[in-house]
Amino acid sequence: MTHSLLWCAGHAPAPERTRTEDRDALLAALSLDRALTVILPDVAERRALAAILTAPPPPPDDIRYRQDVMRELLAAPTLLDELRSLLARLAELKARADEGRRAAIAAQSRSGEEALFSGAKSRLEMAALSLRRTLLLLREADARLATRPLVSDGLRALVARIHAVAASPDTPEMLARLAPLCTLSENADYRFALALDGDGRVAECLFLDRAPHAAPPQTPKKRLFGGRKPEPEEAHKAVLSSPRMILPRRLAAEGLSDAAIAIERLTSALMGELLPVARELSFYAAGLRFVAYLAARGLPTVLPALAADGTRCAVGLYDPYLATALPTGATVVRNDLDLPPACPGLVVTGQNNAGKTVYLRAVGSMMLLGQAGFPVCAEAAPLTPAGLHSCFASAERIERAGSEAGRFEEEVRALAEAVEAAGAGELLLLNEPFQTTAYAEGAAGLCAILRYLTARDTQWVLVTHLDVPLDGLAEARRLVCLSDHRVVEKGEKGA
Amino acid sequence: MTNFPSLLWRGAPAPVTLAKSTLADCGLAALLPARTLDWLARRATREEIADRQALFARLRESDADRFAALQCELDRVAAAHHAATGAATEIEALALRLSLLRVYAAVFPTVAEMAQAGLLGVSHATFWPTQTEAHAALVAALPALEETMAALARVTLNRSPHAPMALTDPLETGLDEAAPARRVDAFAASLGLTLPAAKPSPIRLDEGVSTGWLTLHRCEADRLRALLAPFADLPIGTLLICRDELEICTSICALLSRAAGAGCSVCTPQMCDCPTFDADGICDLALLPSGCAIVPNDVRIGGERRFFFLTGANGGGKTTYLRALVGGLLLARAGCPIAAERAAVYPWPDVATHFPLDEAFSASGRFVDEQNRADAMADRASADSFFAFNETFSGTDHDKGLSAVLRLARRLADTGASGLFVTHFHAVAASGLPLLSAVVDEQDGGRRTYRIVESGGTGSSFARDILRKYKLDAASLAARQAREEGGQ
Repeated sequence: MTHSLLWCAGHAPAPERTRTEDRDALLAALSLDRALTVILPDVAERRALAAILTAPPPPPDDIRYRQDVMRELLAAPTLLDELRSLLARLAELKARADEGRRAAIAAQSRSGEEALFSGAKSRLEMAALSLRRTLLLLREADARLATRPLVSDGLRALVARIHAVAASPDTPEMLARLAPLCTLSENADYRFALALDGDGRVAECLFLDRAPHAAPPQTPKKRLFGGRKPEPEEAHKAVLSSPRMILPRRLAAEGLSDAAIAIERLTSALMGELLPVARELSFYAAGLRFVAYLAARGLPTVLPALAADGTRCAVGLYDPYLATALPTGATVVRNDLDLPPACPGLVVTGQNNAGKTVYLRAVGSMMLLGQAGFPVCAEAAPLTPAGLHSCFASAERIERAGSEAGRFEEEVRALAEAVEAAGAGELLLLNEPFQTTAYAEGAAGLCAILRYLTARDTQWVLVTHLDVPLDGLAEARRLVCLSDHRVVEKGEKGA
Repeated sequence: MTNFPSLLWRGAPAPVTLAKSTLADCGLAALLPARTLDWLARRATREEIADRQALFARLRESDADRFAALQCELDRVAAAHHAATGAATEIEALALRLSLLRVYAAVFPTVAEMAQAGLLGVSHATFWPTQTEAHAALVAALPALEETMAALARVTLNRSPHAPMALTDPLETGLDEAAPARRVDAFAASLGLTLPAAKPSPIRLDEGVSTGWLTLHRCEADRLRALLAPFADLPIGTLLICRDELEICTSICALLSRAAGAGCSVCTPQMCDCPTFDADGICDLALLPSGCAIVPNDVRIGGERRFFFLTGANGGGKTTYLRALVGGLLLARAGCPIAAERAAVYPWPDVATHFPLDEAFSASGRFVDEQNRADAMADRASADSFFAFNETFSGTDHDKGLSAVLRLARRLADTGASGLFVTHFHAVAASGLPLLSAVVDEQDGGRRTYRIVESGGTGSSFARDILRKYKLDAASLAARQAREEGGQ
């Protein structure tokens, strides 16, 4: 059984075509990695978010699933603390159990068969103690969480799972059976069931039970070995005379170890279900911190409304990196995005440093964060989840790569890959392509590419200095960035 | 007839007479397992060759599936036998012997049926019917053997702080269910948790515990020993030999299937009584791993024309042709099919190759070393010899090398030996010995056709094609020089 706060099916779907390294590059191109470094000082939270953002975009059901959990935790932050505390204690238990197990195994391997038995005994004690504590902790958490009315499917399923373990009718019996195993005495009789396999080897050495040692018999039994015929009362017993009793002791140690391993497996399975949720909770903790950071600067965030018709719009959209880069109190200019399905794309132009690339980053960040089920930097943002692709010109990277091909050729190659990757209904962000060729030729080349994308129903946002004509680009629009970083429509449309 | 049945030999296996280097030079050493190579290195009689050709025909065509099934069954026998021979204690020996008998009982009907149908040759056909009665007795005894072994297989181990450890009779099974490990598994199942399966790591008993175990189960142990005793002499060794021999045959068949898959023809060669190697469309099996297209060639060795020179272009297929000849000959004289459309072959008893070796760390040097090896071959040469030389004596100056080549070739030809001498000394065309050449298509820029034909010689090794590819040929160097001078 698997449980996840990120995936409604309990696990991520099979990987799609988008490669992780492409998404890493996109994160960097949008400067989102730098923004998150400032907003999320906790490395675990930052990593959890980055892992989600660099993975292929999830299906809409998963986005809604995450949004519901995020909304519920934003409304009740103490619930997040409570869950994280529970899982942290579980992780601590696991760490201690792992440490104890390693120590017991090390003790077993150090010296002699008696140490082998003693180490196995310690391992069993540690395993029993760890499982017992885990079950008790889950019972305690269940009692506390039962009082909370939960709404989101993800959190309700998590709490229901904890309840199922804690309140199972078999749990009290298991706790009772584990209790005596937590302190095993040397001064006791241990019994093991041995069974041979078809090769005449011991396939199973099952620890059956232990009992306080009975008083020694008045007259010790004689040993059977040495050719003497067994007495009738000894017929059902064979006292072992192995040299130094190496193997019998090893078998007894194996029996205890096997019991310990069985218990460890159960503990590990329980932990394996619950501990990944701790990592997933880091994603939500990052969300809460993200919202709080921006709210402290008077900036809005919102969980976008999911559309299915291709709409990509936003009101009060801003670039998270700009929000972190500007000094506190500075005004972060917010803009709108209006990219309905009928509009194949936007050509964003304007002076240098007017904010063209900032606008493109804002659009890309919104898409990336919103599609992850994360709050986005806007007042309102209805968006249709879809594949996001980009081609950000980087002359420096091309130069450093030391390719034999020229810069223009490298750029064309990168753009060709992006065009190839972007499918129908997906969005392609283009930042200053074809800077390394003649303006007219670059513009003409871009126009042909945009027409191709438009015909293929791939939406695009192009930031450029080039004078790209909108001929043949249907409802595409031209935006211009003003010197105060506001982005306005130029009133020009494609024909 | 030997006293044991064999698929491949009529008597005791012949001694090894072929040098390992010959198998390596023709490429077979890289394609076949060691056991098969060892078998190829032993000379077969005419009768054995005929037996094997018939066996290969059955293996490759009519009864391939049955032989494949038999191979699997015999592999089981070998695995069980190997395990039984490694028993460390009596209890292991008893269990593994039972395991081996179980496998033997299961495999016997297949072997007996195939032997009776004549698929395994005459010796097997007469041997296995004599074992039917013993097999029936084993089948009848198996249930009792299994039951006794099961009764022997469980004990309880008691560890007490103040008494020696002891084994006792197994406890009632209900106690097993209450064992902590079992309860944990049941609890996990009730929670819907799937626990990873435990890795079985059986523990071998030592003599002390084994003795104690058998003492505790004295009656069962005695009964088991008594039940096993009548089956001590079952012909399991015969099955193991049969398995090894079948493995040899299947490795050859697998190689030839691979060749067929690569477009080569496969045929059963006709055996000749005088030195002859007459074949159409022979292929070099050593090319199979490379996956390249294999061009078949013809061979016409026989009568007065037994020893040939072969010259031609670099990369034109001379060595490939040499390997195809030697590989085909070695397979043919062992009774195997070969990769050719048709072949008539004399099973030369003395086959040897002379390929270039890295210079040994000796004072004599490469040329002397080559000369010594060549002299040793020439000293024993006769009409029953087939020798293949590849670029021998190329490690010295032209005149000395040519002279040595001509002297050696003439000496071998005079003894009546057969063979082929690949060389870049184009003057051998005037030697009077027949000459083969690797054909290039000069109309097509010197394209290699990999066809080998008898001709008067090409007079060139066509190295300029390779030089042109790397812009180091005369024309490219001249054009470059012209450009540089123009730039100045």
